[in-house]
Amino acid sequence: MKTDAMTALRDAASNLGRGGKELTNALLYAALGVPTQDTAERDRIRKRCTMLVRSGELVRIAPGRYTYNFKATPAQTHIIAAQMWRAIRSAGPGFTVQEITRLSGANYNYATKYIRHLEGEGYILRHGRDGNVLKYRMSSKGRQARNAPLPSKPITDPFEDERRAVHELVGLFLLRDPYQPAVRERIVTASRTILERFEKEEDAS
Amino acid sequence: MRKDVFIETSNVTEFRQKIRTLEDRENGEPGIALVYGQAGRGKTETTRHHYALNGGVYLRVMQGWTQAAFLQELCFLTCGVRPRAASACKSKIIEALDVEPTTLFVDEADRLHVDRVEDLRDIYDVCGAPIVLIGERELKGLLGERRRIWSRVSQVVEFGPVVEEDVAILADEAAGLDVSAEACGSIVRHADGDFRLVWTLLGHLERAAKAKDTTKIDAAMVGVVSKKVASWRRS
Repeated sequence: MKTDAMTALRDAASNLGRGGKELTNALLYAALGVPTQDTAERDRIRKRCTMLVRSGELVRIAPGRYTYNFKATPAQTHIIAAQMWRAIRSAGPGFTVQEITRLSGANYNYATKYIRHLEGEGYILRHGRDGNVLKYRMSSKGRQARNAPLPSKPITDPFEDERRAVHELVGLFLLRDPYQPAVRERIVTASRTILERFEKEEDAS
Repeated sequence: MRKDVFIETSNVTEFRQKIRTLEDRENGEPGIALVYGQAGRGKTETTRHHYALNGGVYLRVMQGWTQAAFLQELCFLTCGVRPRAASACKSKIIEALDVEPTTLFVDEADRLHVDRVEDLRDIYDVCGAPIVLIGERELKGLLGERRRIWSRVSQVVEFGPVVEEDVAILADEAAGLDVSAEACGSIVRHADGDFRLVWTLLGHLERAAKAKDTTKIDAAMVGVVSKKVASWRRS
């Protein structure tokens, strides 16, 4: 279900439920600015919560108490792409991926891939570099595009989690002390992520 | 230093509140908003952040725009066409905003001729689309020149200097530094309330802190590092 009210509730719930925190109806009323006397609106919010429970986005742990399930959040790649495109359009020459991430709130990895796609399609051009950081500027083709150019196929990497795990492992071995219990725990978690993926694939073949 | 961190300063909070009031057609107060302040205070950055997340039309003013050039650009951003005549552009803009009311953000509006502001007033009067004018201090004078424009300004946001709390949050979130209250005061004084200068200074402080293998920043360290950063304060 996609309405403004539902989007507002989803935003409130995902913000309040960050880090697995428990959220209550009272917290949601307060976050959405519903006054105590407005019982009709409170009823509507509870009904919407029930819809989110059915779709799996909210997990009801007791009456009126929930946790937010981030894995069930609907895909919003087109919204994020539009936000990034607006940040790019309003930028002067020399913008960087970090700047676009800061302004649009997009994930760094996704922003990098989207910008690479835009560069490949000729919407943006390279504009020098600052150390290791690449800078870009808008091309005339980009200036003519009012709406966000979307890639024809999703730009997700099938090995994203595994690559992240390898990156973390390298960092841990080179920069941290592997004798430390916390570091060991992270090494085990990252190794397990890689093993789970490839062991499973090997079994299947 | 992490450059992907957006800090919610007191200026940003005020900007958000006022724009929300402006955009709320049911319980808000539609009209024209004036956002002004000295260069380097974060006006454009805040506007771009709001525009990126919430949408609207973002127009950056160019020096010496004629009426046709200004309205053609605005018309293209609003409805994707560039009619030749200024009057046709205005009608198209009004038509588009009537169907889908969108906030117009006009950055560097202090460079506009007052007649272009009158064009924006016409658009606001007909379709009621919220208009946000962003510029330096001169913009306030420009709008004040004509009573009929000034009377439509319902929200005013002045971007004041960076305060100590903002510096402490920025240092913590972007560089992981623990800056003492005294050091925050010293940074603000040295940067003269300029956000860009604070950012540069914190970059230097981060490097100095790494060299000393610490995350704590005191006033003495700020004193040493600040000598490397040219102050904009006029002596």
